[in-house]
Amino acid sequence: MLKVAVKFCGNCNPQISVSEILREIQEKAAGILPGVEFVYQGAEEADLLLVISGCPVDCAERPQGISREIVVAGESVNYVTCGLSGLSSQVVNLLKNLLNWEE
Amino acid sequence: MMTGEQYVESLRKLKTVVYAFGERLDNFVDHPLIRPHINAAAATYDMAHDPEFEDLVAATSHLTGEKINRFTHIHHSTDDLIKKVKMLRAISQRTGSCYQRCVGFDGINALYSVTYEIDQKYGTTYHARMKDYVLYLQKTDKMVAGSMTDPKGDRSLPPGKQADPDMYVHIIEKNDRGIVIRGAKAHQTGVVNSHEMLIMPTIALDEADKDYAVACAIPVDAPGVLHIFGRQTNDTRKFDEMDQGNACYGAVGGEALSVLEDVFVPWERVFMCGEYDFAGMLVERFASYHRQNYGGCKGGVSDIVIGATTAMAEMNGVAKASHIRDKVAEMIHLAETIYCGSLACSSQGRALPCGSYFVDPLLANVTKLNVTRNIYEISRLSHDIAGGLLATMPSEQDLKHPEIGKYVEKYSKGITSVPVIDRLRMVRLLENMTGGTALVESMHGAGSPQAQRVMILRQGNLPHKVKMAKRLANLDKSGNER
Ligand SMILES: Cc1cc2nc3c(=O)[nH]c(=O)nc-3n(C[C@H](O)[C@H](O)[C@H](O)COP(=O)(O)OP(=O)(O)OC[C@H]3O[C@@H](n4cnc5c(N)ncnc54)[C@H](O)[C@@H]3O)c2cc1C
Repeated sequence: MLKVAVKFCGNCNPQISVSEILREIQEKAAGILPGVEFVYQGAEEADLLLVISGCPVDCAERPQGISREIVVAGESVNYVTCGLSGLSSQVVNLLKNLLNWEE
Repeated sequence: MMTGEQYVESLRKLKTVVYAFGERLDNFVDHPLIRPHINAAAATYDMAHDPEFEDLVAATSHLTGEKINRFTHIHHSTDDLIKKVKMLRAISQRTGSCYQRCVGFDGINALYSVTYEIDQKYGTTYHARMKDYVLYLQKTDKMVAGSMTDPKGDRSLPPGKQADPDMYVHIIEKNDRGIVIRGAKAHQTGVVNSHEMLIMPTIALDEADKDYAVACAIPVDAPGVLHIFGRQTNDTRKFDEMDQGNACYGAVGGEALSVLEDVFVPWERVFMCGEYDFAGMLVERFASYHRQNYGGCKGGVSDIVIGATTAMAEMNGVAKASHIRDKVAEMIHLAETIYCGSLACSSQGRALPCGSYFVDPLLANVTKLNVTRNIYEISRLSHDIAGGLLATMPSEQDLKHPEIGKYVEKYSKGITSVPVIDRLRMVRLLENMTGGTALVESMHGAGSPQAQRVMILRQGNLPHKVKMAKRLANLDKSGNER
């Protein structure tokens, strides 16, 4: 089981649709990662923070208490550019690796 | 924090007196003239609950540690100031019009710091009252209209020398329970759909005008208060649908003339009463916070204008023409320039004696002065690209007319792949956002250009510039060649 707290930056002038990216991630994860649960509240009890920022500035404020995070910022994941079409797959891959690691 | 729906319902409970088109409105909340502005303000409530936007639109109260709507927050860092600007851009991108809450937001921030400084000098207790008021706003999430601009009569005369003493709001009575004020506030953004008015003086004052040095908060429906809703360009189109352009959120903020006919204010809500030597400081603080906003909100509105212009170019089949692309690039440049200014004055903010944060006033004034030009230029370029239909398009009724509708349809066609109705809706959106009232807001909202120039000259550190030039020109102190 992996509880993922989702945090958005606030979208002042987003270069990507953050809600669209999250929807893609959730859809892809639903089939292959049944152990992952996405939450918006109660981040303090989450295992991982998924930050989705609309642009590379990545100014989303981080809730305290979660040390592990995956960051989507514009067209990058963990600051590595992977293009718009690759964002959700890259996040799902990272989640998969984490789950394998946990098991 | 209220939701948008709770906000709308809360307005129904008020007894706000609103007049428009010569009539008193029984139900201003659902009135077509006013409802779009209510919808825009409601977005500021809903977005604070939306995970996508809450990082900007919600904040943590420095007084209670609780989550509050940012529009009731007192800035306590440069990060707070930056988030304010980003929030304004985000909301504008959603509404394409003014959502009105920034004026009161800037009023509470200005008064929060100035009351502290008045107390330091005079041993008064205004700051504690202001804190209570901020707590009340944070708890109730009420919307506050920022009421600074007086009608002013003859601009060359100070308040006390006016033929009519009511040209500026003034104190006409003080008693053990509070004060009574009289006058009016002009161009009041969002006031009819606010809960409170925050009254502030409009200019620096001297001792002779002590009674005009008044800052206080009153409910918008207090006895003696009435609001006369201002007309906007094309406002009767609010009774149509397509021809409005932005039917959901309207244009600008829905301004009104608010008359204060002997309004009682209890002492708990009085934040300045005769301290004329602080009127100038209050005006400057408020104006600087307010001028900070314009690259955020007008940046976001410009994003939509640029989008609509580009869409028009595509629908007209000219999007790839080099001069069109060049003009669109220029529009983006102009919009991002004002956004840069807002971010810059925020990042260069500083702490005030009470602990709250203030923007860099020079950079804030530069930002707003750029807005008075750049928005007109962005609009000019959009008019160039969109074509004359912007000024001559037939009405929605003609489009739907059983006999002539087919001609409007046939001869309003652009490229074949785009339905005519889409092209016409886009024309109306652009017309709504770039003409008349929408432009004047960029000129006079937060003060006319000259008000910014005065502040720029005062803050511009000219003697330092002259000194540097003299050193490089090799002049000695007397100005002679060395
Ligand atoms: C859309 C809109 C929304 C607004 N919202 C609000 C609001 O929510 N709250 C609020 O309090 N105010 C609001 N305002 C008011 C705004 O701050 C004023 O319009 C602005 O300060 C200019 O004042 P004025 O309109 O009286 O114009 P004036 O002061 O008459 O200015 C007209 C011209 O005269 C010049 N001038 C004025 N006085 C002098 C003088 N003594 N000597 C030489 N030249 C002078 C000015 O520089 C300017 O060029 C709003 C205005 C607009 C247009």
